[in-house]
Amino acid sequence: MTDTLLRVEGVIKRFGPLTAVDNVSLAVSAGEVFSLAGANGAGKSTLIRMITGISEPDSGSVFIKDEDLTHRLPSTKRHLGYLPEELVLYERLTGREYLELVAGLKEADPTEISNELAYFELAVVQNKLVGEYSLGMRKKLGLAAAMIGRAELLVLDEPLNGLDVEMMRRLRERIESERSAGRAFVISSHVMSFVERVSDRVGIMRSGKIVAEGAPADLRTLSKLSTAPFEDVFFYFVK
Amino acid sequence: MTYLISTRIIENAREWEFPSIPAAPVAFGAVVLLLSASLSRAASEIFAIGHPRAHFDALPLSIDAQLRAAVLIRIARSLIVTAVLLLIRWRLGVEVAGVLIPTLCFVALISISELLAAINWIHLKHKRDGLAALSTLAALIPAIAVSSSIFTELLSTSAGRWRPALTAAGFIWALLIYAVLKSCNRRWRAGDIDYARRLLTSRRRASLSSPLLRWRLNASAGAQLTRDLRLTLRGFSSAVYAALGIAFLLLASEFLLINSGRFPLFFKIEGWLDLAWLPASMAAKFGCVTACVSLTSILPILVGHELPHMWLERAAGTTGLDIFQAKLRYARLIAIPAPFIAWIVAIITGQVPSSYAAPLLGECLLLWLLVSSFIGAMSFEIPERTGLALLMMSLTGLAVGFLTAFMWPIGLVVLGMAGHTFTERGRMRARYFLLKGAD
Repeated sequence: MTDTLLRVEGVIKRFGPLTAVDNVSLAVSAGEVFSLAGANGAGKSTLIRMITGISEPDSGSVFIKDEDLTHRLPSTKRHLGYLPEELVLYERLTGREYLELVAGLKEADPTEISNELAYFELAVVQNKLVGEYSLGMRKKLGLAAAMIGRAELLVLDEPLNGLDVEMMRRLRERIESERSAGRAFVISSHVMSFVERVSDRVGIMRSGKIVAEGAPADLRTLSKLSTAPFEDVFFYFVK
Repeated sequence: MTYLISTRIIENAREWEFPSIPAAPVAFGAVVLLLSASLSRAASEIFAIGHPRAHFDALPLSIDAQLRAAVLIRIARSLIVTAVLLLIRWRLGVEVAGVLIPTLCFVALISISELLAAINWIHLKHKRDGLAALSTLAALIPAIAVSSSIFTELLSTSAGRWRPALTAAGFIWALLIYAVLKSCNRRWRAGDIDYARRLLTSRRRASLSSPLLRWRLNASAGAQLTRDLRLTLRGFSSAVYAALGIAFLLLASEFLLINSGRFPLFFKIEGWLDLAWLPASMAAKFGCVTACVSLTSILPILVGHELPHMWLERAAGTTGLDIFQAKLRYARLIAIPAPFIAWIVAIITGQVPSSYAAPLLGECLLLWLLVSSFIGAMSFEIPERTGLALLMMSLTGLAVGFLTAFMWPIGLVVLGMAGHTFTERGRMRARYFLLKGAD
């Protein structure tokens, strides 16, 4: 497929005796939102770390735009934007300085910084040290950093943690507008209503494996839970 | 780390002597400097800005509790400064027991004065209350006078006849201004706290966008260098202050060594070229090498500090060359004052012939280039083991520096023959670290 941005083929990751990700394969196309759902420890974050090239699979391959990520070419990684679950930020940089660093690392247009600060309502606190930010502000800064560089594939690990309701809506709108512009998303989240609403396809993980995959409507049909909250659909597959 | 720093300070003190300069003006200057330089930090301590203690304002605690905590923190900080002074006195065999109580008195008085100055500074800026500021100034002037006098005693080798009286006056004045501080805190804290928070957390941008700093670096390496310099300017670790302090002591020792004439003559001076071995020239070069090593010792600590953040470089596709170049440039920039200060110190002693002034500067610059480049190139040798990396980098820097200080052509040969290999190894280590470090 020419418009496939991400291809994961038989990826396995072990930590000692524990198999965190067990032979997972998936593909995400341009303009598609793929969500990963699963309980804590299901292997979502480990899979995401391999997708972003931070961690290496023990076997299997990850391809971004048909380029093998194991070669770690900077040009391959420039297609990626990433928000980690555990966001470790420089406490002694200001919000704007942090985004300047990210823009520099991604060799992105510096004018994007002001736009993202405004979009994520951080302009007022841009000159405050990150160490003085609240959890929500930190998450917004992480999201702004992920958006910088106009990456074609955005990988967001638990993007809703710490966000208020209004910002959750703004993020959903942003994801939808970026999807229309042809950008793809891999999102990991525990908020099932958000996952159902925003995703084109959902992969449900349990013990390192994807146990169900499909459009939210198809998963509802498979589980025969057409009117129940999507949370119940999730439990149907993970039980 | 603390042990290493303390050991180095005490070792340096062995060669140091109390200068024969008038102690009173120095003490007065130091006290005024302490008071003015600590305004913002002391205000942050009183109002617990950026500290978990800020939540205590929501707990059913007395309004004095936060103040008492601030006083204790300030006293602890002042104690560190005076402890170093006492350590130096002890090392030089100057009486220590007799100045212990005056030292405690000085610490109490200066700490409370700093807090009083800080709380008034915030209130003056917020409410423009000139009368309150004048009253505080009236209380602070005697405090400055008494603390300067006690500090003069700490700098002197012999006991002054007014020492007991000064100590008593110091304690009494400390108690008096503590009462004033308590009263100010009770009256102003609630009104000033939000203003203090805004004042102390705004205007944080450090402009480091000079193209000269990023010369011949790409955007990625330039961004990393800017981050490293910003973190250093904001004191990301107490090691920054320690490295600066040690570098200062080493350069001060150079001045004292040249002046005392104690620096040995290693080789016989017969011609112009032999002026490189003149005691003053050698002291300048040794000062330059040791100060360079001290300043660049921040580098492994910075790398250690950045390790948890490296996911960003890994996810952004940063190359080994980029992270290596950023650290190499950082090492060179952080150490650049050392050759100039070491050279100026040697020149002002008047013991370097004017005909050798320019070559000596050249030698100092060569030493800086060698030491900082070698240390910079070792940034990613053992990044996870900061202490060992610090030791290894410092020893390498000292070895290559001292060798070149004795015979500058060796430095040129080392730079020409091993420089490229070392740099290439540094780049490969950085690349390996990026590729394998995550798991």
